[in-house]
Amino acid sequence: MMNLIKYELNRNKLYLLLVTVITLVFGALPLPFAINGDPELGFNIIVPALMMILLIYGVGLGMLIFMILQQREVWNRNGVLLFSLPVSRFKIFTSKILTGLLATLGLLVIIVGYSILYINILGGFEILKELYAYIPSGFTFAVVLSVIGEWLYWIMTIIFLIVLSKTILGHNKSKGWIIALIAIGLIIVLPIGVSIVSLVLMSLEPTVSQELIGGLEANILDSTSISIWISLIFNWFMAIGMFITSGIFLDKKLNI
Amino acid sequence: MSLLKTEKLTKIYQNRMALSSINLTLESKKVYGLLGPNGSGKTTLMKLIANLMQPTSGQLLINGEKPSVTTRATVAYMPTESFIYKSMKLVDVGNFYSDFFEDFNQETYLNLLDEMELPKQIKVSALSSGMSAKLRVAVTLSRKAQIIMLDEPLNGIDLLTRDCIIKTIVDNSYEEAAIIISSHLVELLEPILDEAILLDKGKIVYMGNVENLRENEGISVANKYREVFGS
Repeated sequence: MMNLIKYELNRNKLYLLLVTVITLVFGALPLPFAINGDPELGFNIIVPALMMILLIYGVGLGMLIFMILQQREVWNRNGVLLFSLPVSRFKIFTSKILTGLLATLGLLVIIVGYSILYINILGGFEILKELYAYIPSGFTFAVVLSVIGEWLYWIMTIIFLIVLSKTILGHNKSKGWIIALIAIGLIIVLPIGVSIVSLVLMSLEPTVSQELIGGLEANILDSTSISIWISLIFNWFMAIGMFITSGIFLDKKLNI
Repeated sequence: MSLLKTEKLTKIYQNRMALSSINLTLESKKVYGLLGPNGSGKTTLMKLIANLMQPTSGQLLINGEKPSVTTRATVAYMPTESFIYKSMKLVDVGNFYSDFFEDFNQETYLNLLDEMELPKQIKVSALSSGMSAKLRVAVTLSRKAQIIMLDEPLNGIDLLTRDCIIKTIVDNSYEEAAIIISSHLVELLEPILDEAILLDKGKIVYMGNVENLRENEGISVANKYREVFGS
């Protein structure tokens, strides 16, 4: 397993670099606000939300790109090398999941390191504060970014599933269609459920949710942040779920 | 017990019959030529043996076991295409194989690279098609696998490289193994074959000992090929 992870990391270093760049662009920029939220500008609620949205979508998107690229292995020539090894397909896919998680962990360390550097040495907080001052409404900005992030995420998800379904459909049409339908059903049904929960939470006063949770910092556990935390957990479950699902289906030997 | 045995082995891709009811028994220490035109099922049969795909019906046993992770450790399969990670240096390819295959001999591999004049520090992506073909052969023959399968090892390469590859196969194949070589370049391959298996549209149309064919029927494998596929 360690050998597999070692080679996965080594082989995907260029992709990981791409993911790192995307994550930094999407995720790291607003982090200084989350750390040094400025109540005078009303950022104490919005900024952590922004940070979380961008961080989630940055890492989530990166992870998805990583996984989509990994799926090439199923039908391209490289698959022969990997699937000829005396290692079970389950182990191969588990190693891919672990590689993805390791890569993500590394990215988070980079983001935090970058943010600390940005705040303490480069004075990035002041620059960003001025930049954000031009935006009429922090909340509108957050919503717009959230919507963009959401769309990007689902576009990537759909691409992933099309790729997966196409692969399965290659040699086993009926099973492939069933899998594709279940996946598309999950794409439609799950986000609606999550959106409803999020909307309900967002409609609550921040104080209400604070009372529900109790004892924690207001700018971390207001209702907006809770909804984003739910999105985060959901996104990660989806991402890992897709990965495992593809592994299981391939392991069932769908004649791919 | 036979090294490899198939019974009514069938593979169907959607509506296309790739292999139809193949009955085959292969033994150690023999070189088998899997011969036939494009689309006759040679690669499909090899991929089934390598456990890269599953049969639609029928049975395939390697040392009495169904193809699995365990049998993969005893089968060395070289596909037609370049299948090795392009970012690796040739020396890294050897390390990769030694990490995963217990039967891989690093020393043999490095010697073969020298014999074939392949620079160890060059990346796979920088290899010409002839060099890539040599590398595939080198890495496959460096394993002491019980079944060694070479899928079209002579395709798309010049005459000298072909000679080099044939010589490498003759000189370096693990003597205990059953070697299966697919090709439609029959005349080139004939001198090294013990047994010939002719496949057409997924069916075995001829199978027999090369020497017996020459003695009993008075024809070469190439002529038998022409007789079967020429009409």
